[in-house]
Amino acid sequence: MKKRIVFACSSGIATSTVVAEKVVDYCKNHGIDVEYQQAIIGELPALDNSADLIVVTSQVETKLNTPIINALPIITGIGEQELLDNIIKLLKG
Amino acid sequence: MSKIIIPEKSVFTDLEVSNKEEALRILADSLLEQGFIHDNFYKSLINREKNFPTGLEFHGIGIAIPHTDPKYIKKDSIAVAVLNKPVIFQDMVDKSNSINVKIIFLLGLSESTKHLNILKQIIDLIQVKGALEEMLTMSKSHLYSYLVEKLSVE
Repeated sequence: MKKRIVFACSSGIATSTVVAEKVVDYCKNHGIDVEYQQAIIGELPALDNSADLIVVTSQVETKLNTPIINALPIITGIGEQELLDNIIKLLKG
Repeated sequence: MSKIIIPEKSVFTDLEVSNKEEALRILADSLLEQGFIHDNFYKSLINREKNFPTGLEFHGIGIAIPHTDPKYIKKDSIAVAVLNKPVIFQDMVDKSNSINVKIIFLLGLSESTKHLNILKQIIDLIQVKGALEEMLTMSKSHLYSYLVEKLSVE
């Protein structure tokens, strides 16, 4: 299974990198091949409809068509497992 | 490929400041003096902190991981400060929540070291039970060598 994910954070390189590595790896172990890009939060409206999922590490107010998941549990460690399983569920539909 | 430097001059222990702006000013200035960042780094850092706060709590200890737009970086580096008294940062998870921060990891990172995923290494390090507590008691030189050893830095 191939899926596209956009990982976004405020700088585009710090927390999104941490999360991307973890999520892509977890997906791989669950049979999902992920193609991804990293972005800054401000770029999200332009990236709407370009991916299967948007994973962010800050509060996003904008309403988009693409499902958005907040992945701060990966940074804090609290609720990380549940979050990763939710992502798999969402991608597998 | 680029490497990340923790300049020994940018590791502070027992730092006495009244608020986060003062702490970040000292850390940013130390990196600026040594040529790691551009002039506007500090202003951008403070602005970013307002909109996207970087306070976090691990095992009851408040830390912060301030960072900002990679375009202000000349050479990748990290500055670290253990504070004498905690200062308030807002919570990355809930910006209305305040965190009493005792250790600041200022990340002066650009695209060129993304592959090192240094933030992940820092998070893995501080998630180890007792690691942060230990860091709170280290001398400056001990903290410096500890960080250089634990992270893929120079």
